[in-house]
Amino acid sequence: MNFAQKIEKEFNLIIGSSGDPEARSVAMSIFKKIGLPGKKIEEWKYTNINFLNDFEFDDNEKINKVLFSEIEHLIISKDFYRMVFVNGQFDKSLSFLDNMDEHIKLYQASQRTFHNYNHYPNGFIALNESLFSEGSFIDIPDNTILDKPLQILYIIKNSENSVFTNYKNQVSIGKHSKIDVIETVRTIGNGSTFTTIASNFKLGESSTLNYYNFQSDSSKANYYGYRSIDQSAKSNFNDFTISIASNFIRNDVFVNLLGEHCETSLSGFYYTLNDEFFDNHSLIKHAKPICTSNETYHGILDGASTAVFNGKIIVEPDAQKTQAYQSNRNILLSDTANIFTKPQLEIYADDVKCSHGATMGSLEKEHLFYLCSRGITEKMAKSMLLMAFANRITDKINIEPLRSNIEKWLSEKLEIE
Amino acid sequence: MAKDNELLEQLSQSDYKYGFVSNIEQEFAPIGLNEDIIKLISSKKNEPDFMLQWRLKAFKHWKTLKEPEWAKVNYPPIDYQAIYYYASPKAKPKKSLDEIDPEMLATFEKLGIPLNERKILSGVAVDAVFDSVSVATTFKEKLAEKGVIFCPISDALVEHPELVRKYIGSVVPYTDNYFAALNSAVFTDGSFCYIPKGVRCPMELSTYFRINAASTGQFERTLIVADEGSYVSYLEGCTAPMRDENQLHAAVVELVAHKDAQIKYSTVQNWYPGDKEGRGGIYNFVTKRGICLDSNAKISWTQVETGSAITWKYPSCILKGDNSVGEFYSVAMTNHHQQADTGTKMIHIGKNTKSRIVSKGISAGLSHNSYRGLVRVSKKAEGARNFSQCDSLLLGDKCGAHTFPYIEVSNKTSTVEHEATTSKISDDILFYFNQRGIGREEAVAMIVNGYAKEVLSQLPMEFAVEAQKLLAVSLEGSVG
Repeated sequence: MNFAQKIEKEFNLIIGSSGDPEARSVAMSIFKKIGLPGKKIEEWKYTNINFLNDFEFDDNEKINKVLFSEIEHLIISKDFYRMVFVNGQFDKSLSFLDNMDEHIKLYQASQRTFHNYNHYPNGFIALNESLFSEGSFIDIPDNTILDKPLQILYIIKNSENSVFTNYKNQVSIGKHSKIDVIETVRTIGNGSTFTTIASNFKLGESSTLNYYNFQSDSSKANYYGYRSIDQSAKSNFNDFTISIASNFIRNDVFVNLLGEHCETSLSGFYYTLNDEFFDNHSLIKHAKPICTSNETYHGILDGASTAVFNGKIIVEPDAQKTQAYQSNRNILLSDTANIFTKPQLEIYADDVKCSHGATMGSLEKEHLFYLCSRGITEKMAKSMLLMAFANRITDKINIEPLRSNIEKWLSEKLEIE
Repeated sequence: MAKDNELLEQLSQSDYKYGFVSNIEQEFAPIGLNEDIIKLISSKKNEPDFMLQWRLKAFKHWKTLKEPEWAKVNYPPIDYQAIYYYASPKAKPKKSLDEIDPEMLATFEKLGIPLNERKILSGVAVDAVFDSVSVATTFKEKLAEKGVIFCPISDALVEHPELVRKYIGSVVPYTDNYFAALNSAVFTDGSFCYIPKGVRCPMELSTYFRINAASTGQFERTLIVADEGSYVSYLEGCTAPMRDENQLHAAVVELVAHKDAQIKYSTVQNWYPGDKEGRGGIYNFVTKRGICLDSNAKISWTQVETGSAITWKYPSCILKGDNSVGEFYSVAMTNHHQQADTGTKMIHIGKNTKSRIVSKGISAGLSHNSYRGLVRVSKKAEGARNFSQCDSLLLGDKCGAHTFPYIEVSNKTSTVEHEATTSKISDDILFYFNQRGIGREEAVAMIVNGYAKEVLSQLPMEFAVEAQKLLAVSLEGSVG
């Protein structure tokens, strides 16, 4: 079964069984109209989704249950709240929600309808809306500070066959509340996978959301993540996207600053190897005055890999006193790697301070020489410099076990002894 | 101080000063566009057959294309059948300037263009293009002594067909884009310039473009070839009368720089920008591109864009030869309802190629000003280096400034840097000026001039002063 047949089949299975059938049908008809995003669309100019052509599905495949021991190493800390989804379904036995139930409302796809899109930015989101099998609905009341971070694990277990799963999440955060969320997607098995996760966040006044996306998956894993964030006045959103391994990653982050005095920070680090393809797209819309946004993405490219960065900042006519900064820095380690970057500003207000910068280059010879002249091997010196470059982003991660976990992964990858 | 007074004087004067219409008898080709019109243009010019065939091919291709919509500009659809594609002063002027229609001489006099060869002191050779045809080229003989060919492209097609054939369309093929295809089919005149091996062109070459007739489009084509080790500096200026309708200007400029050659191309674009309500003005859809064919060649674009209702223009460099250099300096000023989508492309192919982009956008009133640029470093371009800086200055809270830089790098030995800022003139700075007895408007003019200095200093002397005045005039009414 190829990808198109799979979509057809999944849709027929899910339409009658869960969720709002009408919303699913509308989304499907829109998907049929707009199709998968192609190179003709400006936002997908550099993004190649041909991997979908090689997908081969076999629905008779029986997957055994995922054991706790199989995911133990993925758990950042056993203390943290934890939601585990396996192959599109929620697995309660692996999850750890403790006394969190009063804050978090988990829904089954069949139980709730919410947030129907007015507009689908691309075909994948329409597809997600029509096919999503599960997701989390998190509702945090006013004045609640979640004592521990919540880790959401999406586990895909397969043998040789392809797996296609779709999740849809909604997180509403009340006034003066705060939550930390860690997202991890992981494949256990040898087949190729494609996972789409569409999440919508609503931040109440003076609330804070810290979102950590740690992407380190198998070489046959493909991921499309869509995050839309609506911020009310004085709210604070911090997003971390650390992409270390996978075959294909595309992150779309859309931030709407709908109240005054909002702060937004998007930080990203990507390290691409072999023929990996990682793509970070972001759009920050300053709709109201006196908001600050800060975007910093660092990337290291090796092998025949490709990375894309596209950051767009729109400052609407009302949004005076906006401050928006954006920077994208890249180190290329190989002559076969490709970087495509486009930091973009669209400004319709005059009392603003906006800037962006982008650099591409290799490691400075002087820096390497400095370290080598102090008795450090060239290989080690190189790793140290790269690690320092990555640390500019990872240092900002406030959750200690997560930071050390990521740094451990990185140092393994950068071969630091 | 004298210069400052002059600036002030300019500030107090109002609006577009080149908006007059010259009353010259003209002949038109029938309105609209079809193969017969193209054949007519070609036969009027006594062109060799290859040119006609090329035009027809371009026209055929153009019919298959759709007008591009990606640029950040809005305009009502253009009716390509409602345009005169050929208009020329009735009696084609003779070689001697005395025989030129005095009205036309007066026109160029008014524009301050030294058509008259007596003005030898100004030291600029001029080719003036009036609507569709070139009316006068000065200093032709003096240039010929050095072997420099500088003439209208229609003359070049008759006198040097082989040279034109070799280079035309080699940098901007007719398949390149919608407007380039249209231009290739219907271009009526333009300048041709060839600098032979090792010659340093003794004077600035210059072309003045003037649209006069109503409902006409201007489609000129400029081709500059600098042979091995030569140098040329070329200036281009444009004006048009004030009319309520929008007129189309779709030009193509091709530059070819051979080994060690250097071309410096400067533009002061001051087409009629439309009135304060956004009525009228020129649609300026221009394709400009240069190629550094061989090693150590250098192409430098400098542009001051103050006119046109809509500007759609990306002077580009293809850096094919090793160690070749491309430069782009631009000041784009928009006011009222003007829209500008301009920038550059730097395509690095050769080893150790270098490029530098300095773009300064100034938007005021209700205008929109976009920088759109591409820096592409191919795998083979080892050690390539690019530095881009694009700043935008916002005057007024209803205008827009946008930046769309595309950066594509495919090797590890190259270094690419890009930086951009957008801001308004801060109150602190204005206060500093006020404190010293300098009024608001004057202060803004000074700040803008300082802001644009990096680009203006690249212009040849004669143009720099003019450009400075132009900026001040365009700014007028946008402050306070």
